[in-house]
Amino acid sequence: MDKDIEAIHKKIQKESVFVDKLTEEVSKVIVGQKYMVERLLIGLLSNGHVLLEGVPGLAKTMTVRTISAAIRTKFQRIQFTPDLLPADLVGTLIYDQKNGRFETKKGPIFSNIILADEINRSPAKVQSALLEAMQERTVTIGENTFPLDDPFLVLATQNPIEQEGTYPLPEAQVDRFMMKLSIGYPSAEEELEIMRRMSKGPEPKPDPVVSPADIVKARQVVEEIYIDPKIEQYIVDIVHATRNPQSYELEDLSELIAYGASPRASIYLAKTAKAHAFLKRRGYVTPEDVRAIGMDVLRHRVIVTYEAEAEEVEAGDVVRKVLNKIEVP
Amino acid sequence: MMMRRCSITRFAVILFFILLSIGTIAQEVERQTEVRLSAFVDSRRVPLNRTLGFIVQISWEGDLDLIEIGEIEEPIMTNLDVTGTSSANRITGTAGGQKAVKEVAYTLQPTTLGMAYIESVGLEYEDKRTGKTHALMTQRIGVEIVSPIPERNGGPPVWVWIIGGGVLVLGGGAFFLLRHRSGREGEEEEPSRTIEEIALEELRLTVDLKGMDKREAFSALTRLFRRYLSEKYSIPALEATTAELLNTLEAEGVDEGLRGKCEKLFEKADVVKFSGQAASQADLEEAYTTVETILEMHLREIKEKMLANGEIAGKSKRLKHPGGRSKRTINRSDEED
Repeated sequence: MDKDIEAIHKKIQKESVFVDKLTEEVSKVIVGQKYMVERLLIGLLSNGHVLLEGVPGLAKTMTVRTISAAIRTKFQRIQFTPDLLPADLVGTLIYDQKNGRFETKKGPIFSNIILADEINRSPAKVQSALLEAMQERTVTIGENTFPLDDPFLVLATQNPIEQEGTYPLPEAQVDRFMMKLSIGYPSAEEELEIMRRMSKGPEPKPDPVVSPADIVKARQVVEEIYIDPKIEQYIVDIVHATRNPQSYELEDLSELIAYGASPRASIYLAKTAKAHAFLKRRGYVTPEDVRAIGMDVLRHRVIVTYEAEAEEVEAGDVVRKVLNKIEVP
Repeated sequence: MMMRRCSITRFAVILFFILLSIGTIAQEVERQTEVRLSAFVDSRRVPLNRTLGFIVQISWEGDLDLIEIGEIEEPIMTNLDVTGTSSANRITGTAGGQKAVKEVAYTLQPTTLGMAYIESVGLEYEDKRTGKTHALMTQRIGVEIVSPIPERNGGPPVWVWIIGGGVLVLGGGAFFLLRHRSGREGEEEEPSRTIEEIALEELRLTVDLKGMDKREAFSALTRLFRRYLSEKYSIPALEATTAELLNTLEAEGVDEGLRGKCEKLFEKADVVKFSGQAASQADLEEAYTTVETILEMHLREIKEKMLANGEIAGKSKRLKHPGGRSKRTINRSDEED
């Protein structure tokens, strides 16, 4: 039962140095948005893709670009448009006249960090090509299958207010994202700072301070973080409460939930809670970590009913109720 | 002459037979009693919310025991239900003698609007003088069932209501007074305990410092203390994480000293419960002492308030039953806490 927490603590101290450096570089460019930066780091550490949703102008793209720039990695930004084709994303076979053969031309997806900007502007076939690559971490072009680089992280953005001319991601595909972040407006103080900083000449540039190897090593430490059976049970209780609310004295949610969270939610909750504990330099997971990350992992996995929509109850409201109801261990 | 004698004899024989026949007929008429069977209803129109009387009457001249009435058939009806029956025998005097009457009365309740029918009722009787049995049958009767009439709003006179109300008020007052007195006597005999007392008792019963696994002991200890805090401050302490709980306590205006103790206790408990590390006996004893000290301190404060405010104040924050999310009653002294 006894865990060598001290040893894990030491490893965390050693491998988490890059977190401070990265945060410092990001803060040179991005003002505030601590929540978004922290969640992107969790995605990076737990090897999970992140969907960012927010109105235009909240520095979603800039934050992702800055983080990528601070890491010495290959970064690609793909602007999703209605005329984008799967081949534009994954690559294609091109006939080489010189040697009379088809050559593989790899697409922008062969990169470490992909920013899929406005993912809901492309039709389903392009979304499917990306989401398949996200899940399998391989891409097939012609007869050859190519593994994607490690780390491979997709950070997708979408705008919740413009629905015309968009192709909303189906629930099954949204489920592939480890977290869905809801990005909010900066505070008045932050906005003042943004305004001052952006009106002072050229945009600051972050220095690359982290290598992909640092992230891979940190991921190994994250996997070693201890998660107690009590916490595991707590996670399972939360996920089950979204499926059978009446069993957890949440009868009023029965009519509001059409589909509860999938088992992928339990897996991702455990993984992200560990990454959260890592960021807090802790060698074990506490209910604090689960609660902190619970909303981001669950909000896109709970499908509400028409009745809920009619009453303007969103999935986030349902998840909040569940998190507030389940007893901590 | 012979012819004339023969005619006289023939005339006499015929006359004899005529007289004999007249005598026999007269005797028959005298012996056979006239029995009348009649059936009638109160009214041919009846509102749906009223009842209808249906009477079957048999009458004859003479004594009651002159006729033996057989069983009267149950009336067959449509759209009517029998809600009551009664029967009566009586003798009334007439100019020429007496009349016997036997009546069977039915109370009928209409079922739906429209027409209702009472089919023919059959009857058999025996004339005791002749020993003959006869049968009679009533006519089919139709009744119209009309819309219900509004119920009378008036009710009993006003003075009846006033007197009745007065009696009720006096009776109710007396009942509550007696109950209150008996309740107070009961309370005095067996005072309910404060949540601090219950928590202290539970602490001593459930947390075994030496026999229990230390992690389990920490879990039991923090759970008990969280339950106590949720009762004491009406906060969701069982569902909150350590940081959330400390923030809530701060928002509730809990003094810094107590918050500091809680912070130290819960943070230590989190390490023990979730890190998988073995806890030391000293840590467990320290946590136990912290909880015990806080509970005793709160209990002392409450008792001091009880003394300051008198007996009634002492009945503040009572738990109806130990453990769980028990109900409690809060009086003015609680609000002052």
